[in-house]
Amino acid sequence: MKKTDGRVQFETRGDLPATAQSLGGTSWNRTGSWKFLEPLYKDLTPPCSHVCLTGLDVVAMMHKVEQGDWDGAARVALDVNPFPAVTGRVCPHPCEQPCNRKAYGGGVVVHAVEAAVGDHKLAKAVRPELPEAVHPRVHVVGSGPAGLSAAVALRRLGHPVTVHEAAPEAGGLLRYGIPAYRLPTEVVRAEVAWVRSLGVEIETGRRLAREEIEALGPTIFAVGFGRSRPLGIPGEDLPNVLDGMSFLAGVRRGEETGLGAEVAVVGGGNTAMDVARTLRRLGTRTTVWYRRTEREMPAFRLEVDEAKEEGVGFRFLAAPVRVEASPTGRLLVTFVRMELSGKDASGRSKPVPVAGDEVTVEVDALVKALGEVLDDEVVPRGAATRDGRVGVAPDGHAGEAEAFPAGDCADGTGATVSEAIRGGRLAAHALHAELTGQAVPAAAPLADRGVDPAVAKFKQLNVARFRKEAPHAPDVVAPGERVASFAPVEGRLPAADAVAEAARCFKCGTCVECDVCYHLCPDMAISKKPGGGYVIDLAHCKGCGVCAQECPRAAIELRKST
Amino acid sequence: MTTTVPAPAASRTSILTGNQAAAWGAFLARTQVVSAYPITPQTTIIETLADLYQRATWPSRFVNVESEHSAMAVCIGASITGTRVFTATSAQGLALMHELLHWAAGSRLPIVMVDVNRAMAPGWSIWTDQNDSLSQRDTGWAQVYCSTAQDVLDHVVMAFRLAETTNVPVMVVEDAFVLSHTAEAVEVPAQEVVDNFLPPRTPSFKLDVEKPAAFGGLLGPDWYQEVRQDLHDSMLRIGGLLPKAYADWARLTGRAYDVVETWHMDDARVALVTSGTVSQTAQEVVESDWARREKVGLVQIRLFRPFPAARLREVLGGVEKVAVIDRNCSYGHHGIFFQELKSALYGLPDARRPKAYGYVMGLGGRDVSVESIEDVLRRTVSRPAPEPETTWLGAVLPPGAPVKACACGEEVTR
Repeated sequence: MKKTDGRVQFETRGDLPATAQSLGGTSWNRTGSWKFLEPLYKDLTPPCSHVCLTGLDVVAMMHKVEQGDWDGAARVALDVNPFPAVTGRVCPHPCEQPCNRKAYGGGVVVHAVEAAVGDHKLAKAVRPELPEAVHPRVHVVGSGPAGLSAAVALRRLGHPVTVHEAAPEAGGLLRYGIPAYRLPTEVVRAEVAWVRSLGVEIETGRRLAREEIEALGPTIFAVGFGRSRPLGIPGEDLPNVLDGMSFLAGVRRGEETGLGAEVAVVGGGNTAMDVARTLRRLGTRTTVWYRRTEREMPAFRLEVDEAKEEGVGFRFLAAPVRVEASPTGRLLVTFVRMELSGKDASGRSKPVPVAGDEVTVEVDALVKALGEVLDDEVVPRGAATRDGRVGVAPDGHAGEAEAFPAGDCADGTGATVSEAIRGGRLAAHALHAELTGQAVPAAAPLADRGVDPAVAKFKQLNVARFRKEAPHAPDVVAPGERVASFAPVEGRLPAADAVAEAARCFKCGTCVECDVCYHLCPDMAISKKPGGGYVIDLAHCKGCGVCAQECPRAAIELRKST
Repeated sequence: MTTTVPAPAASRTSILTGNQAAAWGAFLARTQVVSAYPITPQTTIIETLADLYQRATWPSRFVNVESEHSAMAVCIGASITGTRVFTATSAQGLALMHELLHWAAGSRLPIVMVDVNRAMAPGWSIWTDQNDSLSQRDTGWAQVYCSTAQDVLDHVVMAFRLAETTNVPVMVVEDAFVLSHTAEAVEVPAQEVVDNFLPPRTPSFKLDVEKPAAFGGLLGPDWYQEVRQDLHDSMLRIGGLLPKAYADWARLTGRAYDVVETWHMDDARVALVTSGTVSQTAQEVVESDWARREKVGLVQIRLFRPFPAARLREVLGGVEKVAVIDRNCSYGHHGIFFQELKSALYGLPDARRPKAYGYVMGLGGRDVSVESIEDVLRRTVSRPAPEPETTWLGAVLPPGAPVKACACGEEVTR
C-alpha cells in the first residue's frame, strides 16, 4: 500500500480493507468542481450605521463592548466622534429606528451603550493617537460641539489649537443650551477637560470682535446662533417677553430661577421643548403654543412625549398676534387661530390665520422659541450669509473669508449635536488641507473595512441563532419625580447591562468570526486565517450554500460560480 | 444486572415458540448489544430477550430506540466497535431499515437479524408471506429460511459464526404466527455447547479510540468495485461455510441440517420446491400414496443468499418437472424462488433441465394446506407444459369470474 498525495494505492487485493476506511485523505476529491454557486465573505452595511449622523461603525463598537474591550469600543467611537458621552445622551439616535432587532425582542438601545462607552472614555481618559503638533497653530472660534470637534480633529492632524469662547465656560450649546436633565453639566465639563488634555488650549470669557477673528488667519468659525428669531408683533419688547436660548442659558448659569406661576412658550422645536420642560422644573404651569399641528413639530418625538408626561400643555394652530401688559402687571397674549393650507418652502403645511378668531390668555411671561439665527456682527467680511447662516463653499471656505464654518452657523448643517460634531470634523479637514496642501481622507470606518453599501435586512439574517431577549434599557425617572429637579431623566446603563445589550446586537451584515460557517461546512472547505477571518477552499467548496444560509448575520453572499 | 437464573448447564427440551427460540439463540450466542423496535409479530422476540438479559453474566446492553431505522443504526454503531449484535424486525420495520441494511453489509458488519415474514401493507396485514425479506434480497445480507422453531434457534447461533467468519450480515427468516407464535418442542442447547461452537467475536477491524479511523467514507471509482466484489466473494463463501457449520453443529447437538433439504429425490420425476413452514406441510404430501406413485420428491431451500445454485442443479438435474411454491411475488414477473431457481437450472444441459412450474399462493397469511399443495402437484403432473409459467392458486372467488380487461387489452384470468 502506497500513498500518493494522500491518496492510497493498493498493490494487491489483500491490501484492501473490507470496507471504506480512512487510510488516506479525501482531498483528492475536488468537490469544488461540482459547484455553480460559491460563497463570498462580504460584510453588508448595518441599518444603524447607514443612518448614523456621525458615521459611527455601531456594530464594531458593540462588538468591542460585548468582548469587554471598552478602550477599543471608545477608539471605534473616536474615529468619527470625540464625544460619545454627549451624543449617547442627546442625539435623537436615528440608529435605533431601523434596528433589525426591533422585530425580534426589541431594538437595541444603542444610545445607552454609546453613553456608557463615552463615560468609559472620560473615566479612563482614553485618547486617540496624537502626532507631534508640527503644523501651524490654528484657531477655533466657538467651543460648542462643532468647535470642540474641529479642535480635536485638528489636534489629531498635528496642529496646535486654540479655541476661543465668549462664555465663562466652554461647551457652547452643550453647556448653556441643552438642559442639565438631558446633559449633566459634569459630563460637559469632563469632555472639555478631556479636550484640554489632548493639548488643545481653550480661552474662555472673552468674545472676539469681527476684526480679531479676521486677524487669526484661516479659522474654524463655529459660533453657533447668536440671536432668536423675533416674533414681529406688538408688545414683543415688554419686560416679561423672553428669548428661549437666553432663558435656558440663564438657568444653566444658575442665574434664572423662575418666571412666575404661568408661562406661555411659542414654538414647536427642541428649544421650545427644552424651555417648557425647564419651566416645569421651576414649578411653572407651562403651555406651548404652536402655529401648526403636532404632526409638523420639528422637535424630537421623545422630547414632545416626555414634555407631555411632565405636564406641559399644548395648544396647536395658534400664533401670537399681540402682547399687552395686564392691569395686574402680567401679560395679556392674544393668539389667532390658524388653518393649514398648501405647502410652504420647507415642504410643511402652511399655516394661515383665520381673521377674527382670536383668544387672549393672561400669563406671567412669554418665551419665544421660534428658532435662532446667526449674529451678523461677528461674521468675517467676505462671508456670504443666507437665511441667518454662513454659506459653505465646496472646499469648506465661507465665501471669500479665511473662515471654515461649522455647526449651527454653517449653512447645510442639520439641527443635531451629532451633525455639528461631524461638521466640525469636516471643517477641520478642509482647514488642514488649506494649510498643508494635504487632503484628509474622509473618515469612513465601514468603507475602510470593505463593507458593501447594501444594507442588511432582517429577512437576510438567520435569527434562529439568536435568543429573543428583551432590551437592557436604562431606568427612566417617573414624570412626577422628574419635574422636581434637573437630575437626568434617563439613568446610566450599568456596565454589565451595556455588555449584555451589546451582545444582543445582531451585528447585522458583519462577520464577527462566530465560527458557524466554519463548523457547518460539510466539506471542511472553510479554514481560519492566522490573523482572523476565514478562507474558503474553492477547490473543495461544492457550493451547497450552508454557510451563507446559516450565517447568523448575512455576512456571506452566495454568488454564481465563475 | 441479576444472574439468578443461569443459562442451561445441560441441554434440555423446552416448549418454545419460534420467537422464543430466536431469542434463546441470540442469548446463548452471548450477544452483547441488542437494539430493536417492537412490531407484530416480532415483538415477543425482544420481550423474551429483555427477560433473558436480566440474567446475562457478560457486559451487555439493550438499547431502546424510536424506530427500526434507528435500531439498525445502533446495531451498526455497536458492531463496528467489535461487539456481537442482534436485532429482529418484520415487514414495514424491515423496509424502514432498508438504507441501513445496505450500510451494514457495505460496512462488513457481522450483524445477525431475525425477520419474521409478514406481508407488506397495504392492505394492512400482520400475517405471513415472504415479500418483506425478499425485497431486501440485494442488500448484501445472507438469508436463511427456517421451517421449525428448532431451526430458528440453531440458525441464529450458526448465523453468528457465518457472519463473523465472513463479515457478512445474516438474516434468519421465520414465518409469522405459523412459526413465530406456534409452540413446539425445542432442544435448548447448554451454554457450553454454544460456547464451544461459537467463540467470542474477534473482529478483523473495528472502531478503536486508540487507533482513530473513519469508516464508511468516500470511496472513489478506483476502489469501490474491488470492495464490493469482496462483499460478493465473501457472501459466496457462506455457501461453503454453512455445510461446515452444520457438520460441527451436528457433532455437538446431534441435529443435522443441509442448505437444501430433500425428500424422495433419488427417483423423483416431479420435484416440489418449497421454503419456510410450507416445507413442513409438503413433507406430509410427498408421503401420500399418490405422491409415491407419481414419484414426487420434495426440495426445501434453506439458504437463499448466497443462492445454492450448483447444489440445486445437482439435486434437480434430470427431473422432468419442478413445481415451485412461492409465498411471495415479484409483481410483473414471477414468484421469487421460482425465478431464482429457473436461473439456476439454466446452467443444466437441455436434456437434464426440468420444466419449471411456478405457483404463487399463501399471500398475506392465507393457509397453504395439504390440499392446496396436492392441487399444485396434480396441476403440475397433468400439464404437459408450464404455460403460463406462473399460476396464482388459492383464490376464493370462483374460477373465471370476474375477468377484467387491462388497459393494454389483454385479459387477466384468476
